[in-house]
Amino acid sequence: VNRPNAPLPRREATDELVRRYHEASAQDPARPSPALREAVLAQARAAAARSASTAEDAESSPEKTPEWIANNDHLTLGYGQKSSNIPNQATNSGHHAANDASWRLRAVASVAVLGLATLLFLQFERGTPDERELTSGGPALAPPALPSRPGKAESADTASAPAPLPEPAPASVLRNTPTPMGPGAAEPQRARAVQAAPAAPASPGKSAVPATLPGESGNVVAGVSKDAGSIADRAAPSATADAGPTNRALKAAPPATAPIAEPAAAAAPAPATPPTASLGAAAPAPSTAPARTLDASPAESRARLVPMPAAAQERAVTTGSRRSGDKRIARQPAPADRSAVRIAGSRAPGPEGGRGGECNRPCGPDRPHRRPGQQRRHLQGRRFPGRHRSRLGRGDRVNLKGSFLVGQAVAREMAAAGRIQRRASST
Amino acid sequence: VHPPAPAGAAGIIPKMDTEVAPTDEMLMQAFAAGDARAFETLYDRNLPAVWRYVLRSVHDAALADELVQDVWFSIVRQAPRYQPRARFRTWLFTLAHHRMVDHFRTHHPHASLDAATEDGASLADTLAADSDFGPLRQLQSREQAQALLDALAALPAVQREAFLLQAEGALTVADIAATTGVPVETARSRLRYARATLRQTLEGLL
Repeated sequence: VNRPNAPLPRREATDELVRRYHEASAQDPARPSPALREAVLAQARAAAARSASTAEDAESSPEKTPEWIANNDHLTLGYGQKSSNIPNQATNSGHHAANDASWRLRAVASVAVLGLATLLFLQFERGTPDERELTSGGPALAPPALPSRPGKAESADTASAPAPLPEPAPASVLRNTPTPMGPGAAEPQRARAVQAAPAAPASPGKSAVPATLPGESGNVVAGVSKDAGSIADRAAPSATADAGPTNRALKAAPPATAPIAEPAAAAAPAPATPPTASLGAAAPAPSTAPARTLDASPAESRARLVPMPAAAQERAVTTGSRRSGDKRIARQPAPADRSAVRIAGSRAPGPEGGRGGECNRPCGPDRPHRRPGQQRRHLQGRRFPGRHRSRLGRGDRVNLKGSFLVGQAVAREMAAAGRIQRRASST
Repeated sequence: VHPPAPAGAAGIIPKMDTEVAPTDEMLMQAFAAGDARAFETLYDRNLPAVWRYVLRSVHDAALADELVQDVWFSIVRQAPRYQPRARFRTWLFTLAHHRMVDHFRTHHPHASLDAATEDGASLADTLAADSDFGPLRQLQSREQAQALLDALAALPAVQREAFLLQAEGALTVADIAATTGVPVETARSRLRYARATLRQTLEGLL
């Protein structure tokens, strides 16, 4: 009987034992006290009354507000106490649950926004100071000061001689003049441009206006080329612009600059600009030259038409262009070109006039480089060769920002030079 | 054993059939909705069983009243959150069991129900000797019943509890295991030992 694994007795025996027990309990005189019953039922009636009133309020008010629940929450609990096991929805109505995962999405979105803002900030903060000034807009786009002796360009040392100038520009004017760039950065470039000016060929009468600038005279191109060269020179450390229309125009400009500058030099000597005092001759800091002297006088305007130095032109033509037929100027990107954007560059001409030379098979007019349905077969054996798959190429670094700004400056200079030319022709 | 439900509670309890007595779960739901009569019915139906269960465990009527009152107060407090996921009686006896465990832990820290398992005989003998169920003070017609109760009181606490849960609460072995918080096999073993001891007592009386 006492074996632990013995089977339970049959149902009849179980019932017999329980029946005997109930009979014994019935004979037992011990009973619960009446006070116990009264106490329990009184408590139950109170709780039922509260529950009934709560139900009636729920029926009368179809929609419970959190404030209402906060004020009547005790009705749903016994003893008028708020159970700690039940979350108080009223107090938590304004908050989200701890296990609510929506905060993760918000956190990710916040981090993404911060990261985007940081990238935008770094995009404008990285790079050279010249790039930053060019990026900032206004002052950098103003036309820079011009040397007072066109045609016969002087060196920086000779230009700084005060002899030809009757009166230097007031210092206050120079200070108030918008400075397109820092003096330290602008002066050497200006000196290089002036030194390189005599090297330009002088062939009057030939104006090689680029095709992208229809209707513009050679003078305009000359002025544009000079200023654009200077601007491009400033942006040269970081700008490797793709050869767009502007750069093509600049590249075609050198033959046209000299013939225009020569008569300007003959017509307007340097001392003819006393009021505004060309900076190249008077001010020791050429970069502080007032840029608003473009419309001072026709002679001065002509004097400003300095041919673009060849070196500056060459620098102005950034090295991004590798189109077929263009002269490729190899230029390694400077270490400061961190903001340069790598974009696609056109491939070198193929062996048979195809689009690019990076293809392993011969490409020609009768056999195009890539057909829509042949790409997979063409790439067979070279899985993901990279050159075909991606348009990005090492060395094809183009500063779009610099190119745009240079083009914008060129356009402004063209407009200003056009006005100067018209005034000169009218006078 | 169970008193019939009053007629007033029939119209309040949802889906209550007037011919069939409402279940404990239905009465509890009706009380949660604010029906005091449903609770009265529920109380009258289940109080004797749970009271005896506690009385046979603590061997003190006053203490049993106190503990049972706490149990019913707890039911009243938790009525709004009651969900009929299990039998009401199982829940009721679970509350009673926990209340007794708390009582033994508070007042008999060195003689709990578990400790009585090891030395259950001596503890049961002591409790039985102090109880008012001595066979000498009973009438001749009640000698057998009292002998059974004495034998029940002489059982180890865990075995007695298992038997009382089955006899008073009409719980299954699984419910006993869930109520006492032990594995089913443990509850089954305890119940088997208790029943074997009581059967031996009855056979000796007969």
